[in-house]
Amino acid sequence: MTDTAPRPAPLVAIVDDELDIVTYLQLALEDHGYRVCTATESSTAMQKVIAAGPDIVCLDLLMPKHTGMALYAEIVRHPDLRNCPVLIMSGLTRKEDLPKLLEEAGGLPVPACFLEKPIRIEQLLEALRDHVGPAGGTAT
Amino acid sequence: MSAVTPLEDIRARIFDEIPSGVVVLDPSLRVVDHNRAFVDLFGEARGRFCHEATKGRTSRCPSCPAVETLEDGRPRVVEQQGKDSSGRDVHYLVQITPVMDADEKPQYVAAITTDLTATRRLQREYKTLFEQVPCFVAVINRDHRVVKGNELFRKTFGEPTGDYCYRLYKRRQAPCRECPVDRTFADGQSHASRQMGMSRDGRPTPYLVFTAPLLADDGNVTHVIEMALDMTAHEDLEQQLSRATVLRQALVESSLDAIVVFDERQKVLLVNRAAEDLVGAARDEMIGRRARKALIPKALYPVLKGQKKQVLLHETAITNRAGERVPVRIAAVALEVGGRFRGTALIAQDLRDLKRLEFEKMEAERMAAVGQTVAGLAHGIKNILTGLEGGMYVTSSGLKRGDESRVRQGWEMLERNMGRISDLARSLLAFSRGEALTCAETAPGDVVNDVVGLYQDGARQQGIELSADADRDVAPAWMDAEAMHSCLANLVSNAVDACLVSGNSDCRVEVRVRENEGVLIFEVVDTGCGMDYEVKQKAFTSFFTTKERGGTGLGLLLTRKIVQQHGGSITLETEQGEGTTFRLEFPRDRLPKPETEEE
Repeated sequence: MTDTAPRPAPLVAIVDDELDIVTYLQLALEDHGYRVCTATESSTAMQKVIAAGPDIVCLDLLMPKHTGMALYAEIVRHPDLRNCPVLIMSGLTRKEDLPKLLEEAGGLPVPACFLEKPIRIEQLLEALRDHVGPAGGTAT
Repeated sequence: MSAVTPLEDIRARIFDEIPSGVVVLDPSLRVVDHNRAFVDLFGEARGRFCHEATKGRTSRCPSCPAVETLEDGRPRVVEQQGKDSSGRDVHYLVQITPVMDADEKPQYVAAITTDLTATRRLQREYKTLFEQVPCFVAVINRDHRVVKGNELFRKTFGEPTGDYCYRLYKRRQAPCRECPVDRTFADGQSHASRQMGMSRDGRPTPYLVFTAPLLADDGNVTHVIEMALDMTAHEDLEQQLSRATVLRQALVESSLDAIVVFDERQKVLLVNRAAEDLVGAARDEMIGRRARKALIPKALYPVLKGQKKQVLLHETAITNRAGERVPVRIAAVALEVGGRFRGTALIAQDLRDLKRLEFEKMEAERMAAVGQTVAGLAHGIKNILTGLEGGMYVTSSGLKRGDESRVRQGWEMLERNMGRISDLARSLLAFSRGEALTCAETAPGDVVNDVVGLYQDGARQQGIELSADADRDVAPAWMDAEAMHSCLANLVSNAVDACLVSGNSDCRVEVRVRENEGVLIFEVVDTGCGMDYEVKQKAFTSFFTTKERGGTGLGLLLTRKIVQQHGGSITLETEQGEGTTFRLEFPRDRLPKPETEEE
């Protein structure tokens, strides 16, 4: 018997249009004990993220139609997601180009974390630990 | 009757021959005798009263010099005004001499008249001239005092009251060192000089001064007449003219454009420095000669011959002395004076630097495109790598767990991403293929109509109206028809997709071609979904696609590559929700050139 319920593992939202990347990250993070929700269509991603209420959003910057930067702007401006850290993943934008891109998009705040693709799972796990704490689960 | 002695006869003859009129009056003032000159002036007068004969009066004159001489026996000279035999006014000088009797009393008076009418007229004319001449005229004595001045002088300096000329003209307190009046007094000659005076309001005033002697009977110079012409306006004009000339010369000489002026016989009159540089010859070698034929494009001949007012050639070439073809923009303008053709001005702009810059710009654009392509390529590869890494992770974790379905899932991921690498390699090969265009004389309108014809039915089936607006007057151009066809086909396919995405029921796509000032313009206009800022910024990035299925992200890149190979540029205007216009612009002078270019 414990007098406190176990703390649920942090919920990570993965937003990317590359299905394989989403599958990979989802399986890997779940294997490491995180809870994961995913969105692959940018047009519905925002709704899904709000509904899930994640602890952190991993967002691909280059997405079709509704680009990642536009989605990022929506997230940082949304009252429900104001305190939700955002981890930006990109294969095209380099870290040093990010400030300019944020400026051009209307002076958006610097995201909590920026990872260049290809994503190495260890890097991602380290970033998640830094921002939302350990998952508590064990890797298989 | 007594016979006339020879002496008396001579006397009578001399009396008659005296050129002045001579008349003899008795004490009652009746004419006793007169000579021929008197008759010529006043007519036959013997026996008539003097006042009747010379003045047409019926009574004696109020003051009569003849009566005075009869009374006092003294000779006198007076000026009189009378009327001649035809009633006209005459001026004459009368010298009256008494003729004494034995008692030394005046018995008769003899009057010698000299007609002054002509003299008086001359005097009047001289006076008018003196007064009216449009310069200062002053009569100056040896003390430099002005004793008389003409109307302009009086108007400017007031009535002469004996003031010194140097005070009036120059506001000086002492005579001038170099005084033209003094010179004329000294040598009796006329002199001309330039003098600097000062106007009443203290403004320096340049004068052109002439001095001439006024001589007394003894030949001595009593006065000097001085004429002074105010040269202010003249010198102002002279200065303006010389300033304008210097300015014009400086402008022409320092112009960056070559300027050559020909006379009406096509001989060179003027050459500036830029023209020397362009032609590669000194101006001395050109002036006075006709220009070499290689230097002047044929289209300019009508202007040089005065048959046309002006011709502008936006781009042509001349051959300089060194035999080098120099690209130039050249304008020829006929020079006319009073409607008469007097020559031609050629103004030529050396386009070598511009051409070099244009080439460098195209190279820079090409390099930028290469850079973007490489960046896009890196992005594509990174995504595939992540997919492969994911496949490996899923496979190996499945194997570890003995989870067969996970192994299969991982294997499929590996296969899919291997396939993507093959696709990417194929796309890149397609992109890099056909480096050289296969150009031919191509009618731009035909390309537009072909593309529209090819896609029209398909578009209609999807509820989209696709139409062509090809200006028939657009002349054929040296282009790769097949490449242009794939450019437009790609843009049309994009436009159709944009319409489908927008969900509007009434969507249109139009493909246009026209020409404006030597630039071929193709446009693909749609009323589809349009683009937001970021999509627009990334539109020409390789592997960037907004199509969830089937977009390689290479279409626009390929389109731009073909456009650039034709020396053209591609731009897009877009408004989210309103539609997009892609515009391809090809300046004709930047299009590929046929191998053997016509001169």
